[in-house]
Amino acid sequence: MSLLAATRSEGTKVFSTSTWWILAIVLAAYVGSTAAGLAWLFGAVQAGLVGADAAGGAPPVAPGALPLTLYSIASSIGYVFPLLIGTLMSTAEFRHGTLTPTFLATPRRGVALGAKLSAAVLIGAIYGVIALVAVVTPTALVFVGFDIDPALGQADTWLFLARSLLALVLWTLVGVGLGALIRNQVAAIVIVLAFTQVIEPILRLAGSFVDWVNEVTRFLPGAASDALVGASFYSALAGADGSASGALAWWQGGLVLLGFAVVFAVLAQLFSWRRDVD
Amino acid sequence: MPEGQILEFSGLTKRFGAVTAIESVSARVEPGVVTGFLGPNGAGKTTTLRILLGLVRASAGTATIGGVAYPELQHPLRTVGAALEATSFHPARTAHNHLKIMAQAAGIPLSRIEASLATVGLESVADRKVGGFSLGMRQRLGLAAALLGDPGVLVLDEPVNGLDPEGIKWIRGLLRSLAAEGRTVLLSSHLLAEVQQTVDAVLIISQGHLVYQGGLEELSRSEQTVVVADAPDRAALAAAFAAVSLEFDALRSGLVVRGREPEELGRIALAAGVPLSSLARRGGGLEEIFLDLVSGVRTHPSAEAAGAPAVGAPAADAAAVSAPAADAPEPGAPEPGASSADEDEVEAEIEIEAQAEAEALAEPEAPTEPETPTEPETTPGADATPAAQRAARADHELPEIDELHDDDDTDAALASERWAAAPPRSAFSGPTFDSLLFGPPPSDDTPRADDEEEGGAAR
Repeated sequence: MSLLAATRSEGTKVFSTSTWWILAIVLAAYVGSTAAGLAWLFGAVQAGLVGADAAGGAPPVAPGALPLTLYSIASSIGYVFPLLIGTLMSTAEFRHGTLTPTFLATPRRGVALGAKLSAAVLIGAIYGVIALVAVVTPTALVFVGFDIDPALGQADTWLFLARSLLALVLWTLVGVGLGALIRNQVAAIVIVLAFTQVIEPILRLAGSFVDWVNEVTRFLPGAASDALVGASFYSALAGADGSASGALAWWQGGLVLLGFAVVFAVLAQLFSWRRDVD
Repeated sequence: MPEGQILEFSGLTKRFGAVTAIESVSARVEPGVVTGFLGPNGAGKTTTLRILLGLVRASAGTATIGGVAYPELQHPLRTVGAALEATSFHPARTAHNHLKIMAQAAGIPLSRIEASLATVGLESVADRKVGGFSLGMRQRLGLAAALLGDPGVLVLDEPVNGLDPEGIKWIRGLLRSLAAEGRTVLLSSHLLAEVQQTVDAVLIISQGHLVYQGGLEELSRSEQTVVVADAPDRAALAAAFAAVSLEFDALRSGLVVRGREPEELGRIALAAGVPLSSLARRGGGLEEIFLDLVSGVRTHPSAEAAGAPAVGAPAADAAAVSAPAADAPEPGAPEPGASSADEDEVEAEIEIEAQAEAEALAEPEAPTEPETPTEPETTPGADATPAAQRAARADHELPEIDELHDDDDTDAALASERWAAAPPRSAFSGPTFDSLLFGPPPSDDTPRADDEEEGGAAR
């Protein structure tokens, strides 16, 4: 009852400032334009208009895997946006001192954090739908133009999209816990961007060369997310089939990502969320 | 109609690392009256209120609302409305949405949002972002948030801050009418003058310690003779006092003696051959008594009455009035005098304080005189009287505030004139006259009024 009420309140918090739709627009523009451009490029390669003859070899991605590889852009590139909105949901409370009214209305701190996570499921789902629509629509249109099957009639494709949605929801939860733990908004944004855009890509690249490194890096959140979704734009480029060998199963990837969300949330509750509010 | 609850602080202590913000604060706030929570900046007011509201965890002790800790309340916002500092707003969010978030979390009907905004006069800016609000508007929005759940208890931290005179007048009327409905109203302020016209009862806190709790009327009536004496050779004066077993505190302004007349101290100094540089009785104005309590020049036994129903209860009033006449040592009272003493005087005073402590037990007993004659008219605890008192005060509220701000501490002549006309004077002279008749206080045949004005003018 009080969790439901507090969750509704958390939803209103997100939708009553402009951050959420600004981030959503940037997300849609970013993954949409990336998908459209790459769809055109791969479509052209597939059609023999560019590259393939000159390179004299096989196309970079097997024709059958093309649609899913492009659809994975929604999660493998777009995931930073739900992660950011989740982080901001928490850090904005510290930044603007709004924890005071929040805790006055919901004095049980655990309930307040639970409500934030519940609301984050909804926000994450909305971002997920936006990202998938922004990626699938231009990709399918371009593919149809190049006479490539966008595979939207297959159940596997829709399962793939559902797993992408789940991954993006989990990323939002990771963000909420991380933001509540770090507290400082600027620091949290810097850490999120540095880790997702620089540190993890480098580590995963190293993992693709060295097996024992891969034993570790496949448990990184980005790698787990890609494992959950089942294909990644990056891994497809890294090596046609070799990448799959070291990756986790999709459900393992999901559990690892969920684990990150849970660990951050528990640490936040224990060491940050219950502190005195000044 | 929501019911007011009793707020109870019991042995409340909060330490931030090595710093003790508040220590052993025990007090009780009753419904039906406006209670002022007074003390200088940094005295621990906000910390106390935040503990009451479950935002800060106490190091020791409890703070309850109707016997229940805030986090355990079934419907917190419908039980307690709180307005803390005026900065807890997301600047990009509208006033309406700020309240909507709280209403949704607390299960309060959204129709209350418009009602609350209308009550505080913000309905026309409901859909404007709070970032563009003035401090006064933010205060009003904070108050709207407090009123959202139509709670029986209101806890307001410096609600008058940033309000214009019109707003101050308005909030006074609002708080008084809320209390008249039987709600509990607790508001903090660092200025007595700011809330003097609004409150019926006060808690005064200084450096983390409660120094007074009781009715505002009792504060001025419970006059304790306080004399400040100083000499160029202060140590010699201290020794002279100690030699006759006189208890005193060494403060920045001199040696503070309670329950003795200036003449008596002058004789002691004369007998010891110590020339005095000053000898003055502290005046009995409300503001001055307040400042004296805060600085430790004056002490009050209500500070030790842990959880006693001192606010508005006739029995406690009698105690509050009679006890100060007795110059008993204050066992539970911390040493506010010592803590507010000037740094560079500390070495000189170590010896003095040791002596004072030794003398504490040997302090001569003084008469305790129950001041029943003046009791009935001025006791705020009697059901009908608070409203009457409020109504009486309501007529001349704003001008007095301004006057106090203007002349207090700046123009001694004006100030003493004000005292001559102020109501506390009559309340003060009553008990003293009685004690002259019935009790054996130190010999003093000087008319009180003269002493009074000397004290005021000397200041």
